[in-house]
Amino acid sequence: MIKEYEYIFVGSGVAGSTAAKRILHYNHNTSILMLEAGPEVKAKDRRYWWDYLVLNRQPYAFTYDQPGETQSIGDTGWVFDGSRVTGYGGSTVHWGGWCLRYKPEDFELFSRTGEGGDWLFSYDDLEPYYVQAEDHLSVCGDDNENWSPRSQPYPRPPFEWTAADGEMIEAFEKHGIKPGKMPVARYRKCMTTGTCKYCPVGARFSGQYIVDELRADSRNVNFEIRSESPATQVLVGSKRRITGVEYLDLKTGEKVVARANKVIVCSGAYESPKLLMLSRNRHWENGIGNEHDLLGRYVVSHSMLKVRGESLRNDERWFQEYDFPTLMSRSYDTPEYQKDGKIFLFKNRALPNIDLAALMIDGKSRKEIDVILGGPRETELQAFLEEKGRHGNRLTLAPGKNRFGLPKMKIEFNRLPKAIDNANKHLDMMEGVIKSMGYTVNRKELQDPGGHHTSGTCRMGATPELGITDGDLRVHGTDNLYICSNAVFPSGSAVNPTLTLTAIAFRLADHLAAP
Amino acid sequence: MTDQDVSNGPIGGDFCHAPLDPRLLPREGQNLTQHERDELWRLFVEIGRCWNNVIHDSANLKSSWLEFVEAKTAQDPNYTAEYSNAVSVVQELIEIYGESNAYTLLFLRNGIPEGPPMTRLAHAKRYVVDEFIRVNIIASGHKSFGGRNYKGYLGGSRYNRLPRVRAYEPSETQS
Ligand SMILES: Cc1cc2nc3c(=O)[nH]c(=O)nc-3n(C[C@H](O)[C@H](O)[C@H](O)COP(=O)(O)OP(=O)(O)OC[C@H]3O[C@@H](n4cnc5c(N)ncnc54)[C@H](O)[C@@H]3O)c2cc1C
Ligand code: SF4
Repeated sequence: MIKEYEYIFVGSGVAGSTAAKRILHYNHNTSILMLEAGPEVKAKDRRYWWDYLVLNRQPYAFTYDQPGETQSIGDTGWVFDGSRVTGYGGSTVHWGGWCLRYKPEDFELFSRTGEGGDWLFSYDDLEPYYVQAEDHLSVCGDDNENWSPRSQPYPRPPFEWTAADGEMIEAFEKHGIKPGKMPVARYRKCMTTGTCKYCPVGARFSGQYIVDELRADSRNVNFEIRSESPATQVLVGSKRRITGVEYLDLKTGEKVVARANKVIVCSGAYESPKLLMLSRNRHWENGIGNEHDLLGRYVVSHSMLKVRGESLRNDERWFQEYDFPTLMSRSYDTPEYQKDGKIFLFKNRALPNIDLAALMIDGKSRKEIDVILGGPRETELQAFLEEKGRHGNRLTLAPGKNRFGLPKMKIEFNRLPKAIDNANKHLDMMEGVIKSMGYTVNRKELQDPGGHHTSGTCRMGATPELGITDGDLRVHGTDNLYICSNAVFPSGSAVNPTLTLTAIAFRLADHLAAP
Repeated sequence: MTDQDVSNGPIGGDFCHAPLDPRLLPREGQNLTQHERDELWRLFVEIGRCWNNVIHDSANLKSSWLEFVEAKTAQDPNYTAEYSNAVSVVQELIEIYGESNAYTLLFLRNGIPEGPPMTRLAHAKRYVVDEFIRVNIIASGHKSFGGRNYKGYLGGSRYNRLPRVRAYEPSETQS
């Protein structure tokens, strides 16, 4: 007999785990099936951690997209490598944990610039959910920052600037740039180990811990998770009525059907549109929600701007102490810069650096290393570039499947000359900062977009002609299919997406289950 | 010891030069003996001595090292056979060059060619010495070079009054 659930969640990342946790908070008896395409990677494993440190081996890297599984076909390369984790807990298993709120103007991108899309709710509507999201992710931030309006203080105090941040802070001030402290997701038990992409003590938020918690909570009697079980299509009873999903059990090779009253697609910005594209039936010939050929369109992410400089001396003998950034600024992330594209500035956390162990391994004596430590040294100012989702930039299916049973894909991303001009203008400003620190600039570049912040592929829109979902994240034309992912974002903004994603996961859970 | 005492090629004798497949040596059911553990600890101590960067009786350092060796010998890929090999390599080096020179040569002037480790000596350097050096720096060796923290160093609670990194102290003129 086919089991019937209240909800099926497709994906166990931060979006799925957060929304499921909140729904279970309202009623622990709710029956939920969570499907996860990838395998489980052990968290807090000391051997993995040592190998990560000593051999630079990332325990989850085997889940990354492989060449041949993805293709970039536009005039601007799309970087897939390392841009997601296909595994239990999703991509926050390897994220940096930078947690920035969007700004009010980001929610009105189209109205203010005539490009991209507007959100169907405002910053003020989302603000209470930002508060919940910051608490859930345990964000350490500076209450005095005032970058975005806030009704509550941060749950934890910020990490302080490091000594090596000092010279850039002073240069920022000369250029009228307000320095800020990077808000990051770190629980109180953080031991400042600085290996946050694999935390040995579980002090940096990961979707894994939330799913573990849901499983371990004996009140959640009807919560089930199945790893290595990629959903292959969403099933319908009628055009509007979704009845469940079909998935592949990778351990047995069998196709399985599960039924539910509501299906929540939380599969990330690549897989969410792909799953809907695959769900073709007599009611939806081009895939569910795709009557206007919008699935996969408006794909956007962040490209990195980088200006690096070298100074001949390192009198302070600085080398990297934390592997996460502490200095940032949102002075160019304001309405004034929105028309052309804002940027979010931050200092490269890894510089100045001298890899002491590499020098020792190379046979350099103490004396030689002491000389090397005295200079030269490098620094780098980096930024994420805001770009707007454009109709012609799109993700499409490619023939074949990857090793997790997920369809291969292509991304076509073409960049307008005005985006390059805007990037160059910002790079010139950043160069000025590096020069006023007394460094000689030795590198200045606009990189290709990194898929790690992919958004827009199922963007929300007021009508089916404008977007895939409505403001409640329900797929237009259906009664009970929802998408909770960066995919629904109609704008990419200049900052990292996940805090905003977590806020919309809380909002969705309230919409679905709040009493 | 002078440079003439060491030829231009790799240091060591027949045992050190014996050819090996570059992949990790398979463990053949053996466990580390207490003697081998003591010799490995000694090798680790000599790293700190060579670069003069750690206090070896600090409990933190030893416990980090012990935990590392335990993780490497209790879980796969298992390093037990590599550790036994390294102990024998060091023993031959000591026999040839004497106690005071063997370690310095191994660390600083070993003559091992670049590329995959093709001999017992190269295995000992790549799989044991190089990894121990990383543990040395992570587990507190960075401090003597001027740092307070390092990627991998369990610095302790940041809610403690002491800053866990070299912290920025604004000059008086700044707000
Ligand atoms: C290196 C890196 C660093 C990052 N750092 C930051 C940061 O500092 N700050 C920030 O805000 N963001 C950061 N991000 C982005 C962040 O990781 C994502 O925004 C976030 O994880 C997205 O969450 P999600 O739940 O939507 O998707 P994911 O976490 O990717 O989870 C989706 C899950 O769905 C599963 N899935 C997919 N398709 C199917 C299917 N058909 N059936 C079943 N399961 C399926 C996947 O396996 C995956 O586990 C970073 C990303 C990367 C790559
Ligand atoms: S600084 Fe260390 S303890 Fe804190 S979250 Fe990062 S890895 Fe974990």
